[in-house]
Amino acid sequence: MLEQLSFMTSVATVAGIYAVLALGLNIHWGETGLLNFGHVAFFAVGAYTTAILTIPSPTATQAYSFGFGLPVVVGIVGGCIAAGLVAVLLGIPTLQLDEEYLAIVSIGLAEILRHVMMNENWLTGGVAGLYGIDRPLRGVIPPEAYDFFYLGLVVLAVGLCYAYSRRLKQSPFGRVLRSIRDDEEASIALGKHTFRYRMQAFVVGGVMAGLAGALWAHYATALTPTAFGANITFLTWVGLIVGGSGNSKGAILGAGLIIAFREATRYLPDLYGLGDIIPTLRLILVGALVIVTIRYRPDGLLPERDISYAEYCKRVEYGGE
Amino acid sequence: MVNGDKQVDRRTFLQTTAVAGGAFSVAGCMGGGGSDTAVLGMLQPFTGEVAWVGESSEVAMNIAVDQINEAGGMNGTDIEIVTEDTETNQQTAISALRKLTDSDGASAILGPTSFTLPAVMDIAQESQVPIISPTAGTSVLDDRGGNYIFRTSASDSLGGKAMARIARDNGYEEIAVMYVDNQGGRSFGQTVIEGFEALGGTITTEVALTPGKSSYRSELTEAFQDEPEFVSLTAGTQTGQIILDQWDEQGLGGVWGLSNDMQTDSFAADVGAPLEDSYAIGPLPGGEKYDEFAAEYESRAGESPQPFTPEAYDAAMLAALAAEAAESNSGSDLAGEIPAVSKDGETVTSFQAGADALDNGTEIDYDGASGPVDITSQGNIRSSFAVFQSTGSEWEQVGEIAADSLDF
Amino acid sequence: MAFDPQFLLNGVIVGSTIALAAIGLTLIFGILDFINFAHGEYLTLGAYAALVANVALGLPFVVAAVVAIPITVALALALDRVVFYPLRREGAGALSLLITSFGLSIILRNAVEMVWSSDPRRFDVGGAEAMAIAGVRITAVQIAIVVVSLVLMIAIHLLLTRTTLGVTMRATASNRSLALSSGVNTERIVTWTWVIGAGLTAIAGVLIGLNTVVRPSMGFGLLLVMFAAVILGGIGDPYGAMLGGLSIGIAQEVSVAFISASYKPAVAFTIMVVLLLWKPEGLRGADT
Repeated sequence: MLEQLSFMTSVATVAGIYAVLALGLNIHWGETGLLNFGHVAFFAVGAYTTAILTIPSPTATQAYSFGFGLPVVVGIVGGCIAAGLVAVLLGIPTLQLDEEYLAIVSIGLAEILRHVMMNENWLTGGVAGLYGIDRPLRGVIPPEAYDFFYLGLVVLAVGLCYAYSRRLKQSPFGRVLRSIRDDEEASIALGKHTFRYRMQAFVVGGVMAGLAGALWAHYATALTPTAFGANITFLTWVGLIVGGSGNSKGAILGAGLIIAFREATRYLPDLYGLGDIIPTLRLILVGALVIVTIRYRPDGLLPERDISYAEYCKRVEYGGE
Repeated sequence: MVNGDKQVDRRTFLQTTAVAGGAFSVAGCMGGGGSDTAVLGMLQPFTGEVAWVGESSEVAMNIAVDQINEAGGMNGTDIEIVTEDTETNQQTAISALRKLTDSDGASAILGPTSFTLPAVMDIAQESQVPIISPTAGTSVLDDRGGNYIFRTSASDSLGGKAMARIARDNGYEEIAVMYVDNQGGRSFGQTVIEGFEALGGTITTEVALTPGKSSYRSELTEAFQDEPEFVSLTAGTQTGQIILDQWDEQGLGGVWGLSNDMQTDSFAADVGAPLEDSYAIGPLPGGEKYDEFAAEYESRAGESPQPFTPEAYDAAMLAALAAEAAESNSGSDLAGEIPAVSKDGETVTSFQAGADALDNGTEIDYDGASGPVDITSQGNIRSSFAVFQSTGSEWEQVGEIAADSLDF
Repeated sequence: MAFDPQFLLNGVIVGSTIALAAIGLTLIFGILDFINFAHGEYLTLGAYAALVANVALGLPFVVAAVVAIPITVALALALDRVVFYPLRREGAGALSLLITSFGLSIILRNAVEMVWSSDPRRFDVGGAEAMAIAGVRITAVQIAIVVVSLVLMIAIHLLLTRTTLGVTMRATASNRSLALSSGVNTERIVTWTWVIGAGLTAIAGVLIGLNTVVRPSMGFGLLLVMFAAVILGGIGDPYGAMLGGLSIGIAQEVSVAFISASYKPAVAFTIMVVLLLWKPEGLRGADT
């Protein structure tokens, strides 16, 4: 039973990392209405930045040229900052355009970034990737308890992002964001500088994804470009949609469910002996889950709580600076 | 989003989801890991472009495990195989590995490929479960293996040097190098370049390709711009065949030096006459033992063995023999015995013979379907290569490159 | 190093097939007002429909290619009825449709892989030996591909400018709400959009399969390139999509002469991002 517990711990850790990703995406889409389809780009930047900051300098046989051997904390903070910077750079050309443009350009950016990871050996180790990434307090925590400790760290990160999201939702800033999402023209009419608000939201969500990336890097201890495909963005979206966008609890629940679904379906072959078609069938089920949720529960399992119209107007009117 | 009137009640939806989730978790606790069987895990891609790797090595592993179970099992316990799909993706591979080591309690894990092995090796090490990869050639493993990480496939850095040797020994002075830009392709391609330059030759062009594309005509134009007479290509069979078909269509000339992935009879037959006189490197056929394996494979899969299948068979055999030598099916116990049972001892070629010899207290040296499989302390094998040349319909062995001639 | 015109020719061949598929994508984008992530799978389905007709049933290639069109169109219409129409009827937003199409894309791609496996397959057509014409190498099949693409583009042009349906479609694509308020029967237009869009995409799939190989991931692999072509041309603008498709095809192939070929897939997006910074309304500057 201890083995099962250990497996559950690793599943929970991954689910927690996806919850942080989903909370970031919720700020983009759920709160501000930004169609970000390149979420994995921030995740990747966070992961690679912390890896490069914390791994030791390369030996002669290694492909990469930079390794700073800094403490893990510095790496994680650096990963968040780098992801935020990428959000600024991506936001400049796209946040003033129609939302479809952001959708497509963000996918494009994520693809370009993946090719940079694959090709720029000096920076990312190329297709061979980066290995031997340190883990926080590895020497201090006893090995048998380490998985639980790391899960605790991830849960802490989820808690922080959740608390921040909650505060954001109730703050004047959060209300402006939702007013932009629901009716941009009205917000402009009220004198809001929407580009600046969108940019701030974009950066906050990006930083959260960067944090998730950093947590992933120190969990996996190795990074290769295969870990940063478009399917990460997709899974995060599925989690958010199923859980309920615009609701932080929904984001966390959705991320948990989607990872649980992915891991639980690993046991399907044992159940029915369907054999060879199981791997493809599993992906088909994920696809069907999305369609069914959108069709029958378009607001997800935990929909955003409705705000009365009067309340809404009051908030928008008095909410800004 | 819209609030339609045809919504399913939230409670109903939650209940359904919870019931489904619960059923999976219960199944999870029941599946695998029973104490009456020992588990060998298999971690390979089963979906996407390289799905054939998982499917074919599963056949090979089944052959090995059936033979072991017929001979009484590993330390008297029947072996059960649990397969997991990496989806050629690091994240999935890590979760799948965790399931095999933690949930299924695997004694050893066979796989994965170069794409994901480097990313999971630290985790395997931490879990103290040995990985024996029949499919990872990546040079990253050259100095990182041993301890818990082993492989029965040749390192790309040896394969690349062997390729450089073939080109040089056949009198070519200027060659072009093409390789798919993934973990497997790049380390091989780079060693061809380094090796050929070390042997005094010149590289005219180096072209890295994205695998899985449909048209490589421009990449071919680039590679053949200086009309090289010999072009080294590292790619899987699918990408390789597209490249060779388009090369033939474009009438570009020259001969190829193909990496071991493409050294299969079906590949030579499919490309056919245009491939005549081109070279390929491959493992030295393991004689009788290989023929025996090939016949069994053919009767099960209805085709001749895919690349890396003899290696997969040998990896399963090594794991079981190491468990016998350690007299324990625990991963941390048997890991240390893996190099020991592969060399320096009485030569055995079957599990039965190996187990009997070990019972009598004799050291054994397992020689398998893919060759002598002698595992070094770094977890690699030092193997010799066979040189093949196409007759226009099949590969014919025309020479041999000894492991000793690759130290340059 | 002298620039080899062969790169340019390869680009024209690849670009003309991308252009065909991108016309379908941009029309659906413009008229149904959502990004269809399953568009690449329609391309794949078209190619497999022709493959079954050609290889399994032994029909001549041209017949098989023609047969693939109604099959793909019927599938697209059926999927629209079952998957997209209920959402449209309830007035679901663009994102609901988009996410749904992403789910559909995964289902279709894996279903194709389940049925036909991931092995690449080829059409049963005669040998392809390249001829050297004016210093470039081209096969008869490739000449046919470019000719068919050009003829179809001209046909689409005639349809869009000379028929009431075409004019209505263009009007709906460029300003949906205006078209709605002037009494256009949108469901009829939607049906025709699927017919034309899926039909063109099926042909593109067959041509791409003919030029290369047929495999489950062929359409998804081109999806991002098609998006880039659509953005380049301006959303909802079929002429822009033709121009965008061709430019992207050429840029990708020519890039191989100058930068590492493994960056080839990133070229389309770099162009797209640069264009968005410089001229967000698309190459042709059409109002969207």
